[in-house]
Amino acid sequence: MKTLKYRPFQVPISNIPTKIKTKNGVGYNFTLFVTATIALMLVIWVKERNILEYSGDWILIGYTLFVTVFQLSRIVSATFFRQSLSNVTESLSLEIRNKEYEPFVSFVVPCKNEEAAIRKTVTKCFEADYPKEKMEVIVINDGSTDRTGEILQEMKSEYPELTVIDWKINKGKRHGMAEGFKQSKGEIIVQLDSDSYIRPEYFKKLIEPFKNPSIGAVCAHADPENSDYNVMTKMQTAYYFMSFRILKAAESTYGVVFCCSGCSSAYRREAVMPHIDVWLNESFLGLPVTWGDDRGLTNWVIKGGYKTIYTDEAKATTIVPTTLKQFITQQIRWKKGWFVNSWFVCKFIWKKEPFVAFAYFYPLTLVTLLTPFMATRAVLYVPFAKNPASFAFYIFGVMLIAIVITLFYRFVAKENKYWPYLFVWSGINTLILSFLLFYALATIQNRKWGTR
Amino acid sequence: MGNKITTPTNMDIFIKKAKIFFSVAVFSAVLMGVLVGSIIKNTPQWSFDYATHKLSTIRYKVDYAGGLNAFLANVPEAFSKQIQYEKNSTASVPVLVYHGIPNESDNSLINITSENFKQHMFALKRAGYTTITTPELYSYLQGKIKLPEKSIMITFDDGRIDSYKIADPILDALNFKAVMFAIGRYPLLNERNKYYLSINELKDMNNSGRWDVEAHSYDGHNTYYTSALEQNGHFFSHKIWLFDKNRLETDQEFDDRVQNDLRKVQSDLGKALNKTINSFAFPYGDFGQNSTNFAGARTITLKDTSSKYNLGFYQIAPEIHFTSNYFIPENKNNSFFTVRRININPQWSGQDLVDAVVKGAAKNLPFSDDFTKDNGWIRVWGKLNINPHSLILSAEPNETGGSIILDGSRMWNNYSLKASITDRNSNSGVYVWTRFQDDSNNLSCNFGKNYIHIEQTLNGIQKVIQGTDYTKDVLPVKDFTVTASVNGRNITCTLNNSLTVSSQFADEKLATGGIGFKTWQPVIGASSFTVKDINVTPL
Repeated sequence: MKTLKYRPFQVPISNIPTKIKTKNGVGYNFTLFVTATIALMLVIWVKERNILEYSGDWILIGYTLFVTVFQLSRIVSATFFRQSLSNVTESLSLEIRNKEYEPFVSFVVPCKNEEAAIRKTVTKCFEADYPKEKMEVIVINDGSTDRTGEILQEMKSEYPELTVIDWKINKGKRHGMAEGFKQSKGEIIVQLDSDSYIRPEYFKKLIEPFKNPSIGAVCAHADPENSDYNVMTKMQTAYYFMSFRILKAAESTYGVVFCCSGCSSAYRREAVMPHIDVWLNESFLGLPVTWGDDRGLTNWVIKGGYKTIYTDEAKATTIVPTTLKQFITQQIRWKKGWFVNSWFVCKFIWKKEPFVAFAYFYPLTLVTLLTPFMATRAVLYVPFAKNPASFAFYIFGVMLIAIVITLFYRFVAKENKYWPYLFVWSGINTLILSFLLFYALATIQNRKWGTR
Repeated sequence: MGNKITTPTNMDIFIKKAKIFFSVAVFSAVLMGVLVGSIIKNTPQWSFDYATHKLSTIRYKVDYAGGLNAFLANVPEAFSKQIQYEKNSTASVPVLVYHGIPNESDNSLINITSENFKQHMFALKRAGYTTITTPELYSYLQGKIKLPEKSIMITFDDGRIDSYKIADPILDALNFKAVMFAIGRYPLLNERNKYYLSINELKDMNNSGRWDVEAHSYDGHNTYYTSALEQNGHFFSHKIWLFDKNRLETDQEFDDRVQNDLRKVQSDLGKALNKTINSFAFPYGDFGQNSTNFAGARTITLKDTSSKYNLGFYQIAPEIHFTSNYFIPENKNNSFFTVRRININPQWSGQDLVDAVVKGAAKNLPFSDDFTKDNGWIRVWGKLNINPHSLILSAEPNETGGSIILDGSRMWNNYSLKASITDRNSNSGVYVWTRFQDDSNNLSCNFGKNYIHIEQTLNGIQKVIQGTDYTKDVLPVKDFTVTASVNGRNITCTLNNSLTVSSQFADEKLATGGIGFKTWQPVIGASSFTVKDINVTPL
């Protein structure tokens, strides 16, 4: 249930190359390594400069060092991701590992006014490389006013395993999801946004980790389908990749992914169902929470003692906003969802996962909350009040971190061609997006979905 | 609810390992960061400042060459360390004093803009000047070394960050050196300060070889109470009001205070910079040579300074009127010299600065001046007007006379000065200085209305050593010439080539000295005459 009313056009998945460029492995990696070393030296250099500039202001000095160490530490965590992922199944006893694992899978797809996309989404579910008798698809038509309902009814004849729940009035995504979950019978429930789908050939990889009984939710890797559309979508493609393959991967190393994305995640029934009603009726400051549903659900799974992981072996595609307005609206919604859920997680994570809490979650929360203030200080206050060069220097520091992240990005995914846009993202994120947090918090009592 | 799995699985063990590995990796990375950071910090070549300095230096080199193309065409020359401009040795050393180079012009009389400073340095370089350091100046004043012609010393007072940061790359680009007189307390007390250089910066400066860091008092650069109410005293020239005793200092207390400060900055700054500090610049250039509340200040301060330092820098009259510094053979055994500095005017263009330096530099004989421009006449008192083709010397409205000397004439010895005078105020005398060293040591030919006297001033004691008094007035009002000749111990004063007075007994101490004029008469604000031209020929 994304923000798009219409589909601009269908484009091929361009960031998954037909031919992987054969770069000279050793030379290529060596170049990355050397560049990373230089970048890290520059980071140290910048930090020294900061220390001098903040001369004796230990709060500022501590903060800037802390942020840098934290940002780079996420890359350290991400480097263990691959081993951690293979460990999910390899850690099981041979007996369990070799046993065929094909539990019943239910797809739950809430949608509203998705006449352009819903057919493809449903079709892709049924195309999944998985025994047809072990899957069902439940679509919740949440008060659509366009042809979505008709299309679904048509498709029912085509796919008898398709269940359509038709609501005449719009109840909201959370209700749709809850209803779908309740009506489903699968041991594993795959929740999909109406404009996204798991690429059928990789589907089994999404289910495989559930062999391990401690896994409660698995998040697939999502790439935007409309990457090539414009600069906005290219930038988001770069961001998605970083967000999944570096940030979620870092969380996944420790089995604690805080947000299994709504566009491409699978849940273990017994990990979700006990919480479904509490989750449905979650409220914040006296009003029901309308966004951050995926994050919220993941957090309940974590709280329940299950591990949540990310896998880059299962791939999903989604549609990202193509206009600035849609993009900003989505960001504000995400930030509200992040804030409300972080508050929720803050309260229990230190007991449940003390290491992740203190090495990752609390620092992240602190950095996210303080970044807009520090950015304001560096780009608005200091340049005017003291030293105009401070602006350029701050951006230089941000870009250096972006360089280090990009180098890691180039290391784990040579083929991804959108990496230069990470710099665009870094700049925009620091100078614009981080400030949206203020707006998001100021309007936190506005619980509208705010997409259209 | 809780996890269904209660015993740790292999996956948990792996995650535990990952956590340990993560902690170790991040911890070592931070350690590495700190290590690399401290290496960078302790290796000046890797520092940000060094890089920006080098970039600025190249920028200034390009700027000096007059653009990138010109610069590239002359790269070997621009980068070569020593360019010998002049083979002759210099007869005098001008010393410039700068203070701050703030980012934006503060229209003060002491702080210069970076653009003007750059123009000053470029102009000096183009004019062929080379810069010297304090040990070189000291050896020069002792006659132990000769310095290249067009030697100059560039000094900065106070130890300010802005002057260092701006000046350093400019100096580097031009292969210039400079002296920084730092106030000791700011770097030595390690106070955080955005205005004064830190001890580390001073060390870097001194180690760069480009800067000679010297002393500008430990903590004597303020204005002090000279009574319970007035706060206008300078540290080295005034007795300070002691509030606890409700009186001024005694002579002894003044002496102790001055000595302590001189000693403290010399030892502490010297220790911190690992060098011997031999030069001292008096705060405000004031060591008691000017008005003070304590007549003995000058003697005591100079005695104290000379017992610890080799050079004492100042920039305000009237200690010595000549603006350049000369090797004076009689002083070659001295271990202490006061050094006169030229207080730069921040508004000067590069050419103005060079003109000022040239005006103050030693002049050669023969010398003639028809006053088409100011060749460096220094007003000691009274009023000086150099109009095209004449010099008018007159008294201020509230004074009885006026006097001027010619800058750069300090080391002249045997010469004859002939001056055409006119428009004399009928009661004024025309006094011609010769062998002028300073106010206390000089000879003069005094042409009065009805007398010609030879007057000698030695250590401040005036004496007429020869003279003729006439029964009628001999001195015309319009168009006459006066001549004053000195040769060895002989001095001859001649009016209109007809009346002559001479002596063979000028004191030996007055072997060298410059020229000047004085006008005087008892009526206030009246005395005046005009000099049309002068000719000085060597004998």
